[in-house]
Amino acid sequence: MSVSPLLDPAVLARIGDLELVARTVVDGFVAGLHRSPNLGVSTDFAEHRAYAPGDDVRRVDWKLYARTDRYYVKEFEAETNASVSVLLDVSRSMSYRTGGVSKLDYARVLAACLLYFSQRQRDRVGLTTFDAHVVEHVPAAVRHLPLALHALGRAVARREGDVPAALQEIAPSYRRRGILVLVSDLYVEPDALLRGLEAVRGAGSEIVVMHVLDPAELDFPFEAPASFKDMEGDDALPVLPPAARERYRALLDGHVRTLRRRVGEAGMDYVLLDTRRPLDEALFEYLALRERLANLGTRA
Amino acid sequence: MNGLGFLAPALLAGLAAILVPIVLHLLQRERHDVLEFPSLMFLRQIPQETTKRRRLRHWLLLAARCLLLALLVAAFARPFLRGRAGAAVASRGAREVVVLLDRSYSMGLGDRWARAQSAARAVIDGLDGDDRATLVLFDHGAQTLNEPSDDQDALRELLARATPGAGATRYGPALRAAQGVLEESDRARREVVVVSDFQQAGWDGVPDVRLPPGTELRRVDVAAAPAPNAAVVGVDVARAPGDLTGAAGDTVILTARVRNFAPEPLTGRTVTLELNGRTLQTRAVDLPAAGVTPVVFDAVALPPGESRGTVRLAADALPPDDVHHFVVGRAQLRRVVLVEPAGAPEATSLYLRRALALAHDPAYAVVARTTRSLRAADLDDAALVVLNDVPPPDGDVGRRLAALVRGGGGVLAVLGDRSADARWSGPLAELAPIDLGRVRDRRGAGTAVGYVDRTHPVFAPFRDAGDFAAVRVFRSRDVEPPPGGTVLARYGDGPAALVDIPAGKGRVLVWSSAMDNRWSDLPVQPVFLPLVHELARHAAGRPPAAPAVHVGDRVDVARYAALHGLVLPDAGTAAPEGAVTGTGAARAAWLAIAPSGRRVRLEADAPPVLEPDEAGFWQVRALSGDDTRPRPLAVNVDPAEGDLAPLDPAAFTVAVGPAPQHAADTVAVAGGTAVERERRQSLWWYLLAAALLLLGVEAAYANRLSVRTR
Repeated sequence: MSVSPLLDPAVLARIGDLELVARTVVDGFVAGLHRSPNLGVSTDFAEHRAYAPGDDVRRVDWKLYARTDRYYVKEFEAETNASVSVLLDVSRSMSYRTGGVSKLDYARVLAACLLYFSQRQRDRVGLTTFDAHVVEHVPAAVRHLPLALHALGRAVARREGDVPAALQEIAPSYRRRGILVLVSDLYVEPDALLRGLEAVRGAGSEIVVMHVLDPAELDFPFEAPASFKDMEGDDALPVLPPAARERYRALLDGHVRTLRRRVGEAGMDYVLLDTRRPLDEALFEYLALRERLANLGTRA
Repeated sequence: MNGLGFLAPALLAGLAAILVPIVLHLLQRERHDVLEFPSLMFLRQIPQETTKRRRLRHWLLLAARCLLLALLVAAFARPFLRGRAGAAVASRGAREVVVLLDRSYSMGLGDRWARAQSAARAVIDGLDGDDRATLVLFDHGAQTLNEPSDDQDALRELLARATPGAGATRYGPALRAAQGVLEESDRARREVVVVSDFQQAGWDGVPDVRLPPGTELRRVDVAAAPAPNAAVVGVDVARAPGDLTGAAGDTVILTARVRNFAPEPLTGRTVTLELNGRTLQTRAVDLPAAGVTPVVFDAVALPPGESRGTVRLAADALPPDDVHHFVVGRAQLRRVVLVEPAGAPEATSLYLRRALALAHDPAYAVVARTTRSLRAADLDDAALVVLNDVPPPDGDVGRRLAALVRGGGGVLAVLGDRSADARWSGPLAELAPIDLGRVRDRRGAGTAVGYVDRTHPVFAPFRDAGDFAAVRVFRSRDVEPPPGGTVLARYGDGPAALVDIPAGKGRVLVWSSAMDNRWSDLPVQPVFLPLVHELARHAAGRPPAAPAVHVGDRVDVARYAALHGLVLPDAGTAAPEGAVTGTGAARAAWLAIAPSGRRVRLEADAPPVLEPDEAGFWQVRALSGDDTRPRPLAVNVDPAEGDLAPLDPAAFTVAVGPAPQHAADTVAVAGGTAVERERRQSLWWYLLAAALLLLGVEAAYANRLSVRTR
């Protein structure tokens, strides 16, 4: 899959309109995919829409045709597979950036894309931003994409975060089964994270953990000795980076592997995202997961 | 007092500079970039030793830099150790020490010599490890007593045997000796210790000696406060004029010159004259401050032969210069042959003969001959031949006369009626080709001697007195001086009156007018007598006076003996200066006997040069030849040494020291000043070396740190 320069996260981040961004990414992505949206069948009427060539003629609302002499197709809410909610970490550490785009910007675009994509699949979309507590909550609904995008647009990384606590706080809001995408930098103990995720999964939601990290966090490329100050606290630590680099990488690697393993063991999905990576890659990974989820769902 | 001292403690304020690296280090730490990082979750798990160790290393760097500064500051403050520790440090590093010990006779004053010996002994005692020392005694010359040695006992033995001598101080030879020793030395440190009373008198300007670079020059001044001192610096002998019977020169008037070196007058000093061991006269004199006083004794009749005289000043603090020895003899009569025309009237030579007979310094024995009676043998031993109105002789006599002139004798030709016409002929004319002109006859008042060359020795006595203008000259002969001849006087109307013609080693003087009271009234003028004496003295040559001999002078004994009438067989007649040493007989071996009885043999293969080292009467005699009579030689100490005025120490050190920074140094006999200690210990050098080393380590270490952090 070729990467369009248009999908460079840094370029996208500069576009203020998240919807436009999401559409750009997702439409391009979908067009490249050459796949039809996998719409489901339901009895819950949602809306009418004009017939378009290729639509199943069985779904034409003949009564309405009788009244209006036009072809409309009935769409049902049950056609959406699930409700898709993004749990976006907006703690201060998410504002970290060394290149063109901060983790938050990346996450925001990513979330917008996911929601837009989900919207196109007739999923219900919702959004919760949180740091140590819930900052903003947009319940999952078919028409909540604008609200969610708006909330995303306003998201600012300002305060200290506490992912497990926030998840515990969020849990009651997600009673319905659905797909929850947690986007965070996950500076949290795996055990605590798992406890939080389990709380959120209470109703049996599928959970995708998207671990967003800045390249500097991954590579620790610093050379000059410096005081490293915690963005979410007053602590500072004098570090001689060349000496600490190997240990740091090893620790981070261990952390990522533990998360991947523990999250996987818990039946959840884990994706590590580097803000250098183009968004379509992230979307591709998500889609692959969705496909797997769908297959699982079909089997179930 | 033990501990550490500093020559320039004010410079220790520079230690404040240590704050600079500390502040810089602090600033450096403050300047550390603060990087915001999302989480310290992992960094906290990284052991902190990395950063801690780094900080520790930086402390090491800081300490190194502080120490570097402290070392530099301490080095510039010129530290030195006091007490035993200092002595131990000072003795580190092998030294080549040259001890220059002044043994001039002024060192015999008071306890100077004892203190000088003890100072030199202290230097020897201070030798340590591989240190070597050389003892050099010096006065007018330098005597190196030993090869560089570390044998302290032998050095002490040499020192104990040394005594002050009779010489005068001269620093040049001693410093040259030290320079020689030091330039040969392979020792790391070089030191010259000058133990002396540092008299100004020994300082004859800046000697062409420079001690090798790095040499430490120490002065040990043993002079206490200068004592008042007077000295007999010389004795003048004046011949009293004799009577007409020819006893001139047997009586002398002796004048002693007594010099008071002290800046205050000395009163009531007695001066005694001894002759041949007998005290003849005593004078009590007052000596004005810093001046020379002549002490005139009554006339003394001399016995035949040489007499040994001694003038003694009542002994003062420095006795050697209170005695002055001299040798005086009867004046030798110099032989003058006066040649006059046969059958000439009495008046022709009367005035000349009388005038010559009256001379007393030197005195002349005048032999009168006519042209007919003159024989070649008459000219033997003659100092002067007067050709009074006669032409120069021919034949044997002429040749003998020419030889006499060539050998240094003189001819005074007085022209008159019977002098040759036209050009002189004969052997003498070859030496002095004189053209004679006509007799110039001035009628009436005649003319005066209008011009005399008063700068010439002949007319030197007339420089302030003598009226030649009063002389009336009525007749004269025209004389054309040959090439090389000089006109010393002219008549008022122009013709030459006196012509001086050097010939060989002698000379011919021509007076162009008769001295008979007919051609001129010169013989009856007051200037006549001194003029004749000066003409005779100039033509015959003055018998050279024996030089005053001081201890340390180099005396050619052959020449000395000749000047004192010890005539050698073929030394020629009227032997003037230098005539003796050139002859074969002068190359005989000579024997000199010192006042102490010591015998010094002067071998025949070199000029017999004696360098007397004792004051008093020496005896010298040739060991071969016809005349082996002993002759007394009076040797005195150099009276200049009696001047105890001290030398400016700075001038001394600057002139001969290796580097100007030692100019201000002065050294006391006991122990050492801070300056001296500091210089000897040279701790600053070690501090600077350590600082340099530390600088290298610091640079390498800092560089390594810098590479690692980059």
